[in-house]
Amino acid sequence: MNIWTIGVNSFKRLMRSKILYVMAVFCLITIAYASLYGTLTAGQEGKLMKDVGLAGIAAFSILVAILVGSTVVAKEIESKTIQILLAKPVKKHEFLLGEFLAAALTILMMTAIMGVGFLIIVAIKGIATAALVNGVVLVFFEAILLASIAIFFSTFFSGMVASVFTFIIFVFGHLTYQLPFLVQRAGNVVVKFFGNLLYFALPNLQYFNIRGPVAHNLNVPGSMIFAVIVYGLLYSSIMILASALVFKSKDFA
Amino acid sequence: MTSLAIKTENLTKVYRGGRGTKALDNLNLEVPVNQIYGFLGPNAAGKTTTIKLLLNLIAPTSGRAWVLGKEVSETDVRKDLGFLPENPYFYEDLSAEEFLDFFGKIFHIPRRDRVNKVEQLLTLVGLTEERKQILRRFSRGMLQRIGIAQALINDPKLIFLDEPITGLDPMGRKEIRNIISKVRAEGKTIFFCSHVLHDVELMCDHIGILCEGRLITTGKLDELLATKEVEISAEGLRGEALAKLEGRVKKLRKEENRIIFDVEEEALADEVVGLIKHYGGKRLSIVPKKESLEDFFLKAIGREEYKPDERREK
Amino acid sequence: MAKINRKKLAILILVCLVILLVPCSLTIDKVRVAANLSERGALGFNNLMADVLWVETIQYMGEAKKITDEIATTIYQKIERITDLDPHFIMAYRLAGLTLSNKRPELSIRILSKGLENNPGASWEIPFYAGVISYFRLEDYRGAVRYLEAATTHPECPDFIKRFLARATTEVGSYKDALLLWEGIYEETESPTERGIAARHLIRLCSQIMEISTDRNLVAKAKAILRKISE
Repeated sequence: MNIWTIGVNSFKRLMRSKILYVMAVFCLITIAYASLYGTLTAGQEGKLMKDVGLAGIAAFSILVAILVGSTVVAKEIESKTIQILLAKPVKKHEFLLGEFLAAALTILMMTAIMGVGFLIIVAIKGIATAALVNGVVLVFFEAILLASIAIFFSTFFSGMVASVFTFIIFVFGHLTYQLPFLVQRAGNVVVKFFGNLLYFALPNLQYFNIRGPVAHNLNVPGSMIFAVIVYGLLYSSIMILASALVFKSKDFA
Repeated sequence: MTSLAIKTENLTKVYRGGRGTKALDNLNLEVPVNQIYGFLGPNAAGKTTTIKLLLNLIAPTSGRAWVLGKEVSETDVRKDLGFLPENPYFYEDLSAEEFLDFFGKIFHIPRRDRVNKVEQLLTLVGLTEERKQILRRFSRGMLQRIGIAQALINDPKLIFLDEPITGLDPMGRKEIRNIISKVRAEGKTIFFCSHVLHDVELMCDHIGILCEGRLITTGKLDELLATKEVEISAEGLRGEALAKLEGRVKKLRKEENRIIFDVEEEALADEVVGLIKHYGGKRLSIVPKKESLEDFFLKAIGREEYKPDERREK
Repeated sequence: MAKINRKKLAILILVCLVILLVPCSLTIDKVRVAANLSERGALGFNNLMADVLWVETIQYMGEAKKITDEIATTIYQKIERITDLDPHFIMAYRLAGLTLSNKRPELSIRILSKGLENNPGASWEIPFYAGVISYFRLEDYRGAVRYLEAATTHPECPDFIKRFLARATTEVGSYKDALLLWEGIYEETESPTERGIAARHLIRLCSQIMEISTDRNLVAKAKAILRKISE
């Protein structure tokens, strides 16, 4: 109940910041721009539009996730509004879950606006496929995961630092797929151990990228999409639970 | 204990990374209900730390605290508390009405009651006209008022106000004082932190003085400031008489052609008055002397001069 | 007391979730390998990068009036990078295969076989082009047959390839076959760039036939094709 109230309140406030809409509009402009490429692409404007559209949605969703995730909690701590809230009968984990809910709703809103806009443009061109929706759905879950990481960081760092760290995780998260290969080559047992540890500890964000196959109309097994969503939710839950534990013993001075 | 709004037992707080200095050192505080309790002290004395400990925003290093008869760590106890932080910053994208409504929801106040309550509070703090205005456009005084309204949304029994008056212009201060006295009239206990002594003197029943984390003194304001000293002024006294009188009084000073005697005790006053008459002088007035809070405060914290913004050396 | 237990419970749940993450991760790894969803870098924006390079390459090809050795090598390198980023970019393999076939047939075969490897059964054009280039340019008839057989396994493979395959296994190529094949490409492709390349091949082939061939039917056919292209 409190979680919902806090979440909706923060969501409402986030929705009033115009920057998010500007981003969504930029994304749609990018997609529309891609359709102008038609003449240049040797009959590949369909693929190009899908690629550019999905990449745009991914980029802006991730940007929104990092931005919102790293400010939604940090801003309340920095501006001390959290003190007013926690001086009321609100538990710390309720506050945290509420803010996560707000971030999730905001990302959902932005991804949905861009996704629907994209599908409309693609449908007008007559190249829409159902698989494109799957591509967008996984982008959403990647963004949720990154938001939860940003929230985790913002329980001990300022918003600015949290966003930088989350971005670093984003970069490494898209590179972890190289780890098993590197680990195989490493002779040292210790290196192997830490390599494997890192492989499972860092989020494997490449899982969420089925944009290539989707743009090429390749078959992506539904079971994999399901497993990736489970993975995303699992990882996000871990981050939020860890944040709650940090929060529990945190002083709001 | 139920007649106490606040009770602390050896409450101590050492901030992490604070080089071990005690922000609050073995505080033993008892605040009775239905009072305006003024919590005084120079900056960094530990006033805000005390409030935060009482609201469970920070955890004590040692010691215990109760508010309204319950341990502060119980979430439920905060149903009956109100809090206005120092230099409040609020959700600046919300309007005054939305802001209060949100906190109403936090207390699970049903919709209809919430609307009434918000209306009532906006009237109390005089912001009915600005209800739709976004908080970003609010002046400091208006923010302070909406902050008080926010602290009252749940009809709290005990309200913490951290420096509610500091930094406001005389008009703003008066408005806040009026609101506080209205709230007090409803039988609520107010715990009031300030270093503006004048306002405390005007409003508070009880005070406590905190300095460098330690409670120096606490008690009823009237009793603390009351002295037995009497001030007598007279004229027409000559040198011989003055020499005689000087031995009997605490202090003697001349103001133009008047002489003012500070007499230690009321019992001595009669004798002094008799002596004045005896030497042919004329008594002009006898006034029981009351210490100003400022003098009392300075004496308590052991300083010559009081500068509110003086920071403790770190 | 109850509070401490809640904290312990939270840590316990946290540990359980972390442990669950491992099998979940391994499952996804397995499915991804099975579904041939290969990993590429570029922080998840590999396709976008491939597209940018693609548009660049198309422009480069358009500006080059004549494909020299040097230009062919550059195009090859660009297409290599594009298909590294987006291994399923069929059109990139096809176009590179055709463009390089004249000057650098060996590079052409290399890029086409990379496409075939990354996308088995995804397109009949890639193995067909590889087959044609092996047959006419490299005179590797065995290789040609192998590629053409791969092409005919595709359900959408046009009949003329099957007919060509039947003869390619028995005799060495002739102008007639070449004409047939390039006409086939010209007719079948939906890509204007490929069509242009096929048209150029056809024009050269037809003029050669009209110059040196004694077969009247063939010359008439060549004339008809030229007329069709010039329309």
